[in-house]
Amino acid sequence: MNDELKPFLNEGLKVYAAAKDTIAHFEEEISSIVSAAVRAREEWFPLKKQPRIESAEADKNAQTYWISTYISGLSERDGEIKIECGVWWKVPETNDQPIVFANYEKAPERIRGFDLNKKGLNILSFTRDNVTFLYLPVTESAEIVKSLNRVLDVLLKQLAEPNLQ
Amino acid sequence: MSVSQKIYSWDFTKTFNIRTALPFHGWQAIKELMEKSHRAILPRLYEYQESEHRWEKRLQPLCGNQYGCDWSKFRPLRVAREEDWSDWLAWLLETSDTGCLGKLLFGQTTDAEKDFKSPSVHREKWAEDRRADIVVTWNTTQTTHIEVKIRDKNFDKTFETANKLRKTAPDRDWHDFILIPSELKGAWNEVAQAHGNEETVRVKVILWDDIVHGLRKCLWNNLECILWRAWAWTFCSAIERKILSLEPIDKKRKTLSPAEAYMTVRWLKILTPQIRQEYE
Repeated sequence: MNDELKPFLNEGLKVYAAAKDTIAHFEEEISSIVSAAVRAREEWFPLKKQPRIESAEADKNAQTYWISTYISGLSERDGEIKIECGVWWKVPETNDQPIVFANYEKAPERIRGFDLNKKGLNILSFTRDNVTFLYLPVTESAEIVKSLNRVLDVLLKQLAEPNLQ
Repeated sequence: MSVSQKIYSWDFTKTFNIRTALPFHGWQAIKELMEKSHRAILPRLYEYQESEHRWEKRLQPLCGNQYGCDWSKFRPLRVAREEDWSDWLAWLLETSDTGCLGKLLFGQTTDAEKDFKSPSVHREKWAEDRRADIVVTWNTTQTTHIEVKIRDKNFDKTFETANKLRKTAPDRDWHDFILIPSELKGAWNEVAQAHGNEETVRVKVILWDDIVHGLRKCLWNNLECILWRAWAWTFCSAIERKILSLEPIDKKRKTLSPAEAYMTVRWLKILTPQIRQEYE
C-alpha cells in the first residue's frame, strides 16, 4: 500500500457509511423533484391517455449516473410510446456537466432518432445509438422542474409533427 | 436511453476522457455535502413529523401506527414465505367493494373503478406444468396475472407461465405483472431483456412501494369497510417494515444522522402524496 493511499483509506473508513447515506439522501430528494415535476404535468398531447408514470430512481453504470423516470402512453399514430427523463451526470457528449434530459425509450425508429430543428428552441441535443437525447445543462436544483418541462415539450412535439411521417 | 444503451453501449469510448474517469481521492467534497444534507434535513424532519401526526390521527379508528408490532411472531403473515404475502394481497383484491386498489395497481386511467370491484381471484393457478401466483379475473374482458416476489430472483419462468396461462382462457385480454422490491429491478431487467426478443407477452413491473401507495390511498380516503381497512393497514405496515425496511423515526428528534435523514425522505415519499392530493 502506498503512503498516499493510507490517509485516504483511513479517512474513508470513518466517513464511508455516512457518505453513502448522504448520497442516498441526495438521490431521494432529486428523485422526488423529478417524480413530482412529471406527475404535475398536465399536457401530454399527442399521447392519447393520461400516461403511466413510474417513480424516479437513481441508477448507474461504469461510466455515468442518472436519476430518471419512465412515462408510458399511447399515441394514435405510433402506438405504445415510452419516454425516459431525469437528471444525468458524466455524459461525455455534454462535457460531463450535469444535464436534465428526455428521450424516447420506446417508439418507432424515426421518432427515437429524430432530427431536432433547434432553431429558436434553446434546447440542446445529441444522438447516441440512433436515439436522440434532448437536454439542458443544470447547475441549480430549482431549474430542474422548468428544464424537464421544456425538454418534454419539445420531445412530445416530435410525436405530433406531421413532417416526421 | 434504454438500459441496453446505458449499460452495453461502447459509444462512450469515442469521447472517453481519462482525466474525468480518475478515481476520487479526497473526502472534503463529501464532507461538505454531508454538512449541507444535515442542514437541509431539518425542515424535512418537521414535515415528516407533521405528516406522521396526520396519518396517526386519520388511522385512529384502526389503532394508529403499528411501529411497535413484532412481525416475527405474527403467524397469520409468515414474513419469510412468499405464499403468505400473495395470500394477503389476493384477499384484499378479491374483497374490495370499491375496486380502488385494483384500479390503482393494474388499471389504466380510462378504466372505471367499478370494473375492479370484487373480482374473481385464483391463487396458485395451474397452467400445464406451471403455477401462477395470483390470477385475477376482473368484471371486464381483462385478466391479470401477478407473480409475487419478496426476495428470490427466479424470474425466468414468468414468461413461460404467462404464455401457458393464455392457453387456459384464450378469449381473455391478459395482462402480466411481476411484483418485486425495488432492489430487484436490475435483476428483473436483465431477465426481461433476455426474453424481450423471443416472447410475445410483456410483463410489467410493479413495486411493493406501489402496493403501499395504493393501500395508503384507500386508507386515507376511508374507502372500503372497516374490516378490509384493518387488514389492509396491517398488511401495509408489514410491507413497510419487512420489505421496504422503513424504520420509524423518533418523533422527539431535533437532529438526524445521515442514515436517519435518508430514512426520513423515504418516509415522506410514502406519507405525503395522499395528504397533498387532499389539500391541493
